[in-house]
Amino acid sequence: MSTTNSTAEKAHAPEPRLAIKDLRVAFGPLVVSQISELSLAPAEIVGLAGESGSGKSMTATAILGLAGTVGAKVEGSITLDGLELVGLAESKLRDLRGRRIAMIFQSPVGSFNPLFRVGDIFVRALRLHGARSNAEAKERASEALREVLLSPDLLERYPHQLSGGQAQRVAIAQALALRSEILLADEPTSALDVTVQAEILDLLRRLRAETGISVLFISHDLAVIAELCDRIAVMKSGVIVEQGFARTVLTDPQDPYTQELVAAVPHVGGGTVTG
Amino acid sequence: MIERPLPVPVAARSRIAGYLRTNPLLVVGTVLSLLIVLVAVFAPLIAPYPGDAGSATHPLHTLTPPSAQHWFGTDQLGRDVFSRVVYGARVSPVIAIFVLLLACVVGIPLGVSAGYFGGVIDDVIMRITDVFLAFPALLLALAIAAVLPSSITTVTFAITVTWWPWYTRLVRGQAASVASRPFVEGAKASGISSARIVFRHVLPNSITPLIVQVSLDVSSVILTVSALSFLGLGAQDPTPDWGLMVNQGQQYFTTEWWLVTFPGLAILVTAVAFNLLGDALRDVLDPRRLPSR
Repeated sequence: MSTTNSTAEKAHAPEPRLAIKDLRVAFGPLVVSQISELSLAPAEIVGLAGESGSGKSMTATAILGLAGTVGAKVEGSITLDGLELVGLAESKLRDLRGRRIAMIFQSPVGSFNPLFRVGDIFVRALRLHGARSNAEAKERASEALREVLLSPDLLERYPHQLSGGQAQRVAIAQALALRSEILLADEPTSALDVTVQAEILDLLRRLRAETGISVLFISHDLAVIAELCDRIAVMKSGVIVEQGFARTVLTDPQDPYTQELVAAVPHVGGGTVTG
Repeated sequence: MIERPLPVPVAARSRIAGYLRTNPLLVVGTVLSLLIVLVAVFAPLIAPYPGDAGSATHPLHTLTPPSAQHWFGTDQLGRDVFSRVVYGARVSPVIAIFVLLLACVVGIPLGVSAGYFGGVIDDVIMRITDVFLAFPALLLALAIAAVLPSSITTVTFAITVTWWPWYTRLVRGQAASVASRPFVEGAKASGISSARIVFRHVLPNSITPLIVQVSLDVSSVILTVSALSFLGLGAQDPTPDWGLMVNQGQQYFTTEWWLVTFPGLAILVTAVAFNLLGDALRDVLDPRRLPSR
């Protein structure tokens, strides 16, 4: 049951950086995510929309190769620049995680270990993924913080001393410092108030333009997705019911579920409204 | 629009110093704990009659009340109670520290593994723990102490066997809740290995309640040591064990109160000191409890 805006889809054909094909994530007999096709091109922002429990986050977990750790079985194909991730050795996956594929979460402050300072978190991540010395790691961290418009002084703080917006920027800065190619953003703005949310969306847009990072933006909030994303995939019960260019999907939804979702958001397409 | 930073948190050492200044009770706890350690170390210099802590007896001076000569009086064998209390700092507190250390060494890794990994690992570890918890602690310790030659080593071992399962349980519960916190997910997503996540992220965030529990348990272990000693399964008579002294003094309590009171006070002071120290540790170890500036 997949209605694709196929004409638009065909016209859009740069080499994808991340390609998912016939993915099936299941807990025993319960299939939580079944995706026949989803791709992410360089510098592209793709929105993954859908209600709670529709399989959005599980898809991200599968991309990171972490679905197995929660007991799910993954079949099909996920490729990163041609490298098959499904079935890849754990040590190789671990090397990709955080470095080539970074992830940010809904709870910005909670996603940092409360016992480490921001600087320690950066230094550890950078040392794990290639920085040669602590000084070099610190330098790269400061640079990344400046890129997300934060003061490098934040490196001395503990996570609980950051605001939600700051913490989310720090998380994004970590992806930048590691020069990640893909950012999986799992509801990154849902816990933030509207003004801070707008700042984070601006930041993501700017970084995509400057660094060419690709973003898979997972959200239940269609208004946010409409504002940010190039393309949209709408998920329901683990299946993508519709995907295509953001504008096309939002102005002319084909699937009844997408129509419902679009109808539920006031003034989608106006460009400034958030749900 | 660079955001203005908060004042930089001070280094851990000055944090501890800052704490001691803001909370006088912690000063008391720390000072008392240090005092007990010093008494234990310098017992031969402090005790006026070091021989009385050993096998010396003075049949002509039995049960004399506290005086300038014998600050805490003398016991039923004429031994100086003060000297024995001072030497007592080398017995049960030391046993307590060994018991608690060993219980932690066994209990913490098991608890963290059970809580973090869950599933079969959790089941196996916790069922074994349950077996140990199924016996009343004192009875189990008694049974173990009874089959082994009575000595301080035996007491230490016997109590440790009954003690570690509580720590495994406590740590497991904490680790399980920490394992589901977002930063652990974040750590996995940043490519950190399981071993590192367990020891760097889960363990430090699950350990605080255990530290407090351990400090509270110092007094319980001392009492358990005493109970075993009383039943003839732990420290034997010439050993100046506080619990043993209390138990032996019981029959004289109504007339010769000093036999029970001073070793009892020693247990009390030690317990309070370590409890206060535990509170201090909890505060110092948690950066969220930094004093507000």
